Amino acid sequence: MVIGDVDAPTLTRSVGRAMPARDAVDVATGALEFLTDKTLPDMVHGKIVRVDIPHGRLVGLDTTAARAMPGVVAVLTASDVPRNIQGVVVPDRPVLIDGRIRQLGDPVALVAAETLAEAEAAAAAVSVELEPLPAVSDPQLALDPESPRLHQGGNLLMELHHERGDVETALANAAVVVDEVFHTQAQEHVCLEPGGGVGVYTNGLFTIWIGTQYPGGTQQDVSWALGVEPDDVRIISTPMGGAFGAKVDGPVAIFLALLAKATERPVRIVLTREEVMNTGTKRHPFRVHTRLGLDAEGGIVAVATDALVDAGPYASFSPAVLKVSGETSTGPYRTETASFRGRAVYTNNGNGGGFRGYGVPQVAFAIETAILEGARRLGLDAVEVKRRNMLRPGDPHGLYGHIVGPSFRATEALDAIVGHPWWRDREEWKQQASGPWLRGTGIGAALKGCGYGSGRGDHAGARLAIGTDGSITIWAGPNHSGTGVDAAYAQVAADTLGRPYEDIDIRVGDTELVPESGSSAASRSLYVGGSAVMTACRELMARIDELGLEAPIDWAEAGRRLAEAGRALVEATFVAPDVEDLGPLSAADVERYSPHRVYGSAVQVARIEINRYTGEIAVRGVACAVDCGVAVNPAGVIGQTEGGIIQGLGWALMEDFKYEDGVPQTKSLETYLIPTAGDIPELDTILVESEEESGPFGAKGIAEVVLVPTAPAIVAAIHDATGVTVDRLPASPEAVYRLMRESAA
Amino acid sequence: MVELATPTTIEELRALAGSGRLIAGGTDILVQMRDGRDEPSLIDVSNIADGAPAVVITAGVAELSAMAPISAIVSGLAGRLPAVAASARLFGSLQIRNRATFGGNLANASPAADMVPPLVAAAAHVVVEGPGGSRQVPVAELATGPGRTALGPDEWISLIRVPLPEGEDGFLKLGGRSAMAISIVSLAWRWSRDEDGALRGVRLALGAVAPTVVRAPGAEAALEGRAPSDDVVVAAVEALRGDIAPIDDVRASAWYRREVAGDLLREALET
Amino acid sequence: MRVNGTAVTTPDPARRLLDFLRDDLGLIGAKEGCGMGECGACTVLVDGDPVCSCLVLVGQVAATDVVTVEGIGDDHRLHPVQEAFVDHYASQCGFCTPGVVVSVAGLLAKNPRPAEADVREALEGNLCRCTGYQAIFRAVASVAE
Repeated sequence: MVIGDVDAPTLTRSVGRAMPARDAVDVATGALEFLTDKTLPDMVHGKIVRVDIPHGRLVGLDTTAARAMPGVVAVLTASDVPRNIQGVVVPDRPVLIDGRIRQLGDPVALVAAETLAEAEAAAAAVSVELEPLPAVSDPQLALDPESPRLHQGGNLLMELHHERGDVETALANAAVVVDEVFHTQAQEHVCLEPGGGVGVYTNGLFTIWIGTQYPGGTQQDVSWALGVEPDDVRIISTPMGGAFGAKVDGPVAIFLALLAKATERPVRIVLTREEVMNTGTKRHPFRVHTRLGLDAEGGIVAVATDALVDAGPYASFSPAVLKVSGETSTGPYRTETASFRGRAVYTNNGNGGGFRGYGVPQVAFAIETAILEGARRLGLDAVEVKRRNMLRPGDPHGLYGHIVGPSFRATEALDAIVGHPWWRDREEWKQQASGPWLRGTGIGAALKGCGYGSGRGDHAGARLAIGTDGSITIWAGPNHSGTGVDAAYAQVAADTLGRPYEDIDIRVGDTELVPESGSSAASRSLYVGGSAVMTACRELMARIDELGLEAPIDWAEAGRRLAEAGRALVEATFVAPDVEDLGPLSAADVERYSPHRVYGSAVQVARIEINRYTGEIAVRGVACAVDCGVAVNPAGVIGQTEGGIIQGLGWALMEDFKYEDGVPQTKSLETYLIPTAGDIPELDTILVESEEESGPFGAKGIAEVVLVPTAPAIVAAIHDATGVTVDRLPASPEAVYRLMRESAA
Repeated sequence: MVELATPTTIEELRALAGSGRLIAGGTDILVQMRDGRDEPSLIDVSNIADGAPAVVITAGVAELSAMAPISAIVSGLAGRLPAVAASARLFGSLQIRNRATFGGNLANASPAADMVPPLVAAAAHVVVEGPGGSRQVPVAELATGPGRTALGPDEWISLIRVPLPEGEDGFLKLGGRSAMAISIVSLAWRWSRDEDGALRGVRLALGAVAPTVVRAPGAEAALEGRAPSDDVVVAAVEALRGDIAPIDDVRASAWYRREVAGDLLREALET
Repeated sequence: MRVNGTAVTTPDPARRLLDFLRDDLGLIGAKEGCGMGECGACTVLVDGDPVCSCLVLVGQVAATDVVTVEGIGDDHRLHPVQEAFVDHYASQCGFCTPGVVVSVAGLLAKNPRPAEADVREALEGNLCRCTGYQAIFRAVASVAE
């Protein structure tokens, strides 16, 4: 179903039509070569030597035996790394360990050998002497001055604070104050392709084939660590076997470059699932202390949020995640008074990093569940409380007070869900419960900004070439990370040029050819990258106009004449506009908090069954109304929504990356459970359209926000079915059973 | 370097037995070897052509091949032995069931082995073959601890003899998700009801609550000869919680296992 | 062993079927997502039954017919399952897709009109992290009709 206020003429020949991914046929036949499938003549195999303790010191490293092993071509250690430091936001992570160990699985050496078996044998023959130190595993204790310091500056990686209005006074005057602490767990991305790639070094130039969401960032990482110019490094980064934030940073590209240079041969590294589980980034665990004040009618008078974030051993994107948590801590709701304090803390647990939703799911679970509890205390319907407070276009943002842009449609999304049969008929459905199953229904809502946010110079580039036969090739970014955004780029180009979709050739994921466009992340790919494509196409049309050709345009002639004039290549950049009306924010605040001008939102209803004997939960249906602007490729929007819901469902119910004193306990897919085909509810996606004036053909980004309402909706449904309130995720059978027992006692 | 022998007849297998580790589907051994378990010599039993058919039903007994893929057993049962079939269908994925065998699952002796509780509840026996001929062992006595069995190094399981149920039987598994999950707790039961509704011949077996699959003698006694009134159910549930000795692990706490095991029995009795 | 209809010789019986297919035969459609039978990305058909090729040794299946995703369709035409996956947007990153396609083709060969429960059971061993599975179910339903 599509609802919204988009004028029909906007939906042109290509935009608004469902398009398969451009690589869909090659995917279905198995012909698509992933970058970990790649083999090159004379290729050697790389293996990473890793430590098996979470915290300590490397006191001895002997590679003599390994170097003498059959087939070994190179063994590298920290002294072989020209600049042994990396980190996209904060450079706090050695490429290879030269002293301090901060994570189980930290790399101490690299091996290259003729075969993978030889590389594995040689890696096992590297002798490593370690001095273990007590692990820092609790973020609260990590802040204790007596705790071991994981980095020179101490264990507090970042603190972010903002207050709008006088929160304490507002809370003191509220009719009810919900004062609760919520806990969320680490989540692993589980990209089906564990990761890795191939590296080549020839004539002073590196070519690295590796699935990365941020080719330009990977290029910078490699050039920095190797001590070469960025132009000496080419990153080819598509296709990518899953991303979700797991492939925005990480050291493997540097490893490939080091080994390729040392061996002067092509080298391949393919990570094992266990390596990724142990050392890959995770969704940050949060402890969120929420104080929500409501007036007697359910109006929100204040929200105070204090988030303690387990960042793990290295900074990765923790500072950026914390900003987004702050910005979304008031949910898609109005309030005039709010505060946020967030602290990201180093520990020896999993490395918190980018993960679809980027700090929103944790605080959304808190505010949504607090509203549930507040409504209960006031004797009000929680959904009515949400509706009453829902942000509307032109409203000041709850925490920062900047003005929310005109395309925001959270209220319409809520209306669509309230009108959905799964919500409308919930009481009747509940009465039909049978056997061991109790039934319940709940609603969750969320917003998330599109793009990096204001003050960040968020931009993307596009390069367009028209051939003398009239063909169109566009090198565009951000990359296709599994989303099929390249299909949407082609749709945008087709309609801007007035040509058939099939005429457009889109190339993504190659730093040699695609202008720097940032990462495929932050719900920005289509919004920013599609706008850059549109800008390039408009520039081409302007140049063709100047030729004075008669309509209909003869594209081959246009191509020939532009080539003669040296104007057949168009380069364009799109810079995402910052917040227009800052409200009370200063320019310095904009830099500090990166508030958004454009938000997407999503509202979901979940209907669930709970086994009254065991606490098991079966989700039977999730409907999502997604405030997506214009859906350039509805198949893509629905695909992102369905996939996001199921990742949210996994986080809500079963996914739980556990550590004991910094040691991963769930390092395989046998112990770390994600949803299977057997766990999938009926899904229904409702597109709530509007025209985002700054997006391509009115589009905005939604691929993250769709994950966020699922957990709160399920938690609300659990409350509806049993009366218990889940304040700690996941809502595993044991957790729900325990709450039901406590409530019965 | 791993050696793999692939006998195709029982006689070839008999000649090789004892010279290496037996593997059937290999779905457990190969995972353990990937984790570093050293097995220089493997003997594959998945190509034995003259073994027993997957399922043979004789007077009151189902004979299941220990070497046939689990999926072949499930289809061969065609609705008989509902508890055994239910546990088999919940074992791994279809890909795993197409390779893994009952024999392998029994010989692995995992405390959480899904298919063992229904066999123990059914008083099933395994037929063990070896150089000295065959012997019959109750399934309940086969596993002696986690990963340990009463099998000699040159013995293998050829058949599982399962008495057909005379009354009701069933199986409940609690896992962290609906499929492809190692059990948190599993419960299998057999009983009959006489005309007064009293339960007779009660046999209960549980997985993942002790070092091996165990019976629940206290709960069985609490139910035997009684109709499952509210009071009887409460007493049986409490007795069952005393019958078992679960541990904490990454999947669940000992507390939850102990408590919910009782509630699984309640669910079996009430629904 | 026959692979996709062609007889092949198998040098080392203790080699994993997955490595033999990928490294020796160049059939890269089967993927390694976990190496322990949990994800199903390496699914192939052995005598028509889907199995995880990471947990099968070549010597165990030396006398069988193995079909990989490359052998599901023919040179000239997509298998209807493959066509349905394209038409119903049933892949995103695509890494799990070859294994899923093999599982579905195996199911439909035995059960041309599966109920949704049959489809779910057939796919329980194929993890997909992108699609949320429903697009896959829709694709299968379109072929099964």
